[in-house]
Amino acid sequence: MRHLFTRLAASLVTLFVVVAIAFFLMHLAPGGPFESERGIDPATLAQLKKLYGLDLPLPQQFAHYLLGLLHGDLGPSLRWRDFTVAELFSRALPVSLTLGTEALIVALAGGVALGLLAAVRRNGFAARAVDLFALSAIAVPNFVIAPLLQLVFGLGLRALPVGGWNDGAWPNHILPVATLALPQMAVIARLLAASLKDVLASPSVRTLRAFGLPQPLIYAHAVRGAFLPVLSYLGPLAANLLTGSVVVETVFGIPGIGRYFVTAALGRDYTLVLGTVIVVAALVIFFNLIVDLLYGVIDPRVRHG
Amino acid sequence: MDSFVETAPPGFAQRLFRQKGALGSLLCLALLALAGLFGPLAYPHAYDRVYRDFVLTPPSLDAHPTAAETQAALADFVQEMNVAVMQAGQSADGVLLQIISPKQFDPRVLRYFSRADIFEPARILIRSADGHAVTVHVPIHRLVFPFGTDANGRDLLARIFIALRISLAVGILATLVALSLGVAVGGVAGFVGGRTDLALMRLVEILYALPFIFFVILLTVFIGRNFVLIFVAIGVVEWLDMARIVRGETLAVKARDYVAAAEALGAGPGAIFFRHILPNMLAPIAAFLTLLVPRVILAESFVSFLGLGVQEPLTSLGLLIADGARTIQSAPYLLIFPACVLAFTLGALNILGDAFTRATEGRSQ
Amino acid sequence: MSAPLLSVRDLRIAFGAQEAVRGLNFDVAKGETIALIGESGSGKSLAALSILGLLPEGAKAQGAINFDGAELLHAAPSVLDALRGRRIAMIFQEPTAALDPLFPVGQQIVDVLHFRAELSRADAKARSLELIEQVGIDSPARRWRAYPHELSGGQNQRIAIAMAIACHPDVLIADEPTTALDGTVAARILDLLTELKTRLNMAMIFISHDLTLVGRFADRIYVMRRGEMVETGPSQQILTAPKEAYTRELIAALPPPRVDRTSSDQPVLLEAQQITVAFLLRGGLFEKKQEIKAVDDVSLTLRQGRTLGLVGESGSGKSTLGRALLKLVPASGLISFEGRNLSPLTRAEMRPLRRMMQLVFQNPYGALSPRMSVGEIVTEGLRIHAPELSAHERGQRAIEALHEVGLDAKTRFRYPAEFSGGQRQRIAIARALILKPNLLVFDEPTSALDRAIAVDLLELLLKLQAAHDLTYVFISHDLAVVRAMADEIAVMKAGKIMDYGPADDVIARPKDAFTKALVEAATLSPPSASAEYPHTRRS
Repeated sequence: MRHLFTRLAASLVTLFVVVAIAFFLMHLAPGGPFESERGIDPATLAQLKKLYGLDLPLPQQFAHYLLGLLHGDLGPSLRWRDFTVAELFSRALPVSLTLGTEALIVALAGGVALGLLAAVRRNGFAARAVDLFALSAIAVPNFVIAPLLQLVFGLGLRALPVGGWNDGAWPNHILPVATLALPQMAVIARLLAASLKDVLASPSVRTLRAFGLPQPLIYAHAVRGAFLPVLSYLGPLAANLLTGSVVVETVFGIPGIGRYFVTAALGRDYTLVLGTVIVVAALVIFFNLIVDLLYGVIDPRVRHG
Repeated sequence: MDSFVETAPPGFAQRLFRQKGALGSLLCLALLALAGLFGPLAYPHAYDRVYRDFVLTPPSLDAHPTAAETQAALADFVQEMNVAVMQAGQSADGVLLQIISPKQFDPRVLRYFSRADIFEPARILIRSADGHAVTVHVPIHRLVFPFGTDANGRDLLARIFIALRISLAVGILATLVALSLGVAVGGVAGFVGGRTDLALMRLVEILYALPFIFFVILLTVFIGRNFVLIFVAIGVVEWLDMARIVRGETLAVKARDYVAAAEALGAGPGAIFFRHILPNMLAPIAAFLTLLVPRVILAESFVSFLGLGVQEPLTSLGLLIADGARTIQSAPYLLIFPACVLAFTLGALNILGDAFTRATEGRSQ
Repeated sequence: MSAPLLSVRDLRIAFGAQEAVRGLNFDVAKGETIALIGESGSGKSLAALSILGLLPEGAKAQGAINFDGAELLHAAPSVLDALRGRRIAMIFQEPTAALDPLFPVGQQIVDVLHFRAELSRADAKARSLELIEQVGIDSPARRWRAYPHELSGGQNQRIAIAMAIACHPDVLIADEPTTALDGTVAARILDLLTELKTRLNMAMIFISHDLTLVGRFADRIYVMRRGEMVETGPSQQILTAPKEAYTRELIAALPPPRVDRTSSDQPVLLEAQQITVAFLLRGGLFEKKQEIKAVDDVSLTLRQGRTLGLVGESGSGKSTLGRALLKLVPASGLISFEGRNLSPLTRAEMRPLRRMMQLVFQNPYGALSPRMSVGEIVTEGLRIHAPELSAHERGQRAIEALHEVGLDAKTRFRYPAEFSGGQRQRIAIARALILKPNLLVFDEPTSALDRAIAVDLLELLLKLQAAHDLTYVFISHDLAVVRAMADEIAVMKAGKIMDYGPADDVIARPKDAFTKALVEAATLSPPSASAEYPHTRRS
């Protein structure tokens, strides 16, 4: 329990530092949110700045922002001025999270299945296929896979929509989720296969075999131990899915937060950028926390360590 | 008296080349590096040369212009210059034309040929007596576009050469930045230990909380779309893993008995670091480096793909892929070729990196 | 004489072209205990694994293994499965690694009972608690729930034994069961095995590298070397009158116990008073920091030319004390060397003094930097303390030092990886000696070496001590080895000194219960026995 508190406290500190860094970096960058708009006269510019509190000294702006955060107010968007950041997110975040969750499930399920297959039939075709698959996952990044999938399934076979969200219709999910999930599936498969191979050769499994315990039991024990490295990878996996969402949303034209982020950053929409940074960092930190707890559930050595 | 161990253990190079694929990927990389270094110099097409007449031509080893293209160009000439043309013959390097104009022949008409990509300046051979007709020899400029041309009429292979050069350069430079930062921070944390170690590792953990892309975008906004500083941005992001590895290795080596033995002999910290810790750390760090380079190249491609990295007219593999993705319906080769080159580069680097890692494992005790 | 229960004929095991076992034959009768003895690489473990079909990947076995009428080698998996755990059981060398780290130990016994003895889960649980008690573990209910990493090596081995005897097997194969355990713990495990073997009338195949250890309860001994059997016979005969030279090497006699050779009026070289080494365990954000005393209030006196033996089990603090005496580990208390108070000196001030006091480590494989040549390693001390010497002069001193430890001059151009463990220890000694120190601390220098090589090394150390009037601190867990080297012995447990005095006093008349247990575990004969009979047994 105490352990949980410590981790929670550390996570909050981390989040705070991340927000602070992002805040000051954004404001120190040259240019501002209104500079790129055509033909804006200095008087209007000054007024706009005043309206959004951009003329106040930086530390004060930061304090205001933090205060707002505590009330759940992420501030107004500086570019899409009819909306607050929270409103924009309430539409974009569910989209990104849906795709992300689906991709996570597909990657885990597929990766574990492939990894088990490769490890059980040790020197067979499956093992080599998994190796090749893993290599292609590294060599063919998601921004190459995305247009290729569009070409083959969207334009070639005309089986799936080339892009767009279409209010969440399920055919529109398929290609984006595939782009996100495939590379991660390969990584997980390889990780699990290697780990399982190690565990099956370990002294503790040898003992199980020495006592003639039934095969299913041996495998159950082995997989539980072998799963640990995969579990550790889940943290970076979440981060990778979030990263990949930027590409996927851009190529497939999906209205998620990734796409907002790039345009916001280029347009110096401070509040929107900060909002995205906070949300993303919070998600990653939260996910890592869950993974840590799960690790403790499976591995008693960590619990007591 | 016990006997010597039978044979000396195999050297590093031997162990490296015993790994599957090490030799192949090394050769592949050498080829790619040569292509990047000398390609732009040796190859006839310049990477920014625009051939207005050859926009989106598909890849082929046949020379352009084809007969059809020549006819089309001549028809175009006729139309534009308001003359009549009779093709009198064909030589090895050009065509023989008889041009008949309604009025007196104006030599400025021939400027068409100077402007066009397909033709070179014409040479007047015979003038007719009445000045209405001339026979000219127009050399044809033979061009080959092995990988085709892009939407602006630029040869793709030339662009790939320059993209390779830039991607590899960025890869190496950003890796060096990551290496320096990582070794500095990780080495200090591992060697000095104590509070410094704790503080530095806290910092690394915090920076880890933000996925790479968000950080790079933030940085590129700060630095601007400046090619020279892109690799700084990437290096600054990738140093985190390097710092962790260096710290881990320093701690591991520091715990070895031979370091304690050196201390027992009376060696000072400087001597211990340079004579014992550093040499034994090099191998695993080198192995990680070879895996870092492809990650950096991938990161750069990623950033360029989003339009935040390398800018026109310079190009990188990521930029080429982005362009290719846009014209995927009409010209899929614009995506496929750069994607293949990227895949080969990343694949070879990863195989080599894996081989390196396995060759250095279990080496220093 | 009934037919043997288990018989192995012409067993051959090969990895590709490498033959690890060549034509091994042995028999085990019902209730008999045989021992397979050999050093590493002899193939003894592989032979044992092949009985139950547990050979690692890539191993090919040929020959015949017959158990109670059934042919085991190349038998169908169902045949082997029927026997495993039920009629033939096995325990392994590293007990903590052999158990599943993710499940409570009691659960693992229950699994064996449930699947192999066909007990219901409830019955299995009750029986497992009984077994835990039978193998000598206290508070069975509490220990049942514990995970392997929470128990000690000795306790885990007892759990493994409980699993092994759960189904009353006919044969128990024990693969180096005590090698990874401390002396007193190992002795108790052996007692347990002896008791169980007699009570359950089990046959036992005991595998070890230590010939003198198994002499206690093996009926028959098979000595192996490089895959072949060298000698076999009843254990008494092998131990007292071995025929083969190799067997004799294995029970190579330690040098005789130190006789009081120098008067105890020698000048005091090192004096240590109330030395304490404490480590702070970092607590969490809300937890108090805990202090652990590795060395607790220790006082010693070392006189010139004599050897102090520091004995204890792992975790007793003996290594830490050794380093604290050399000021390599921060400690509180007074240390004075040759009359000079070392305590207030900073690290920088200590460095020039280090040439007079040196340390030799236990692990010959980690103590030499793999990237430096032997010559560079040996002369490193000279570069620090005698920088005025030219490279040629250093080379000369290196050759001298290498000759003293019995190594050729040419070895200084080679790298540590090319040398065996014994040779590397000699290099380490040369490295220490080259500075002509007064005091040498040896931290378990022979523990990682094979018996005959260890004996050679000890004789070298005695020779060097006599030649240069060196003072030694000899740290070891092995009382028998220490007895051969030490004039005085200090016994340590949990950081404190339990017994301290002249060597023969401490061994013959141990004051402390722990010392008594150590002496028993080492099965040392009384010091008056002559050195003619090679029955100086170590544990």
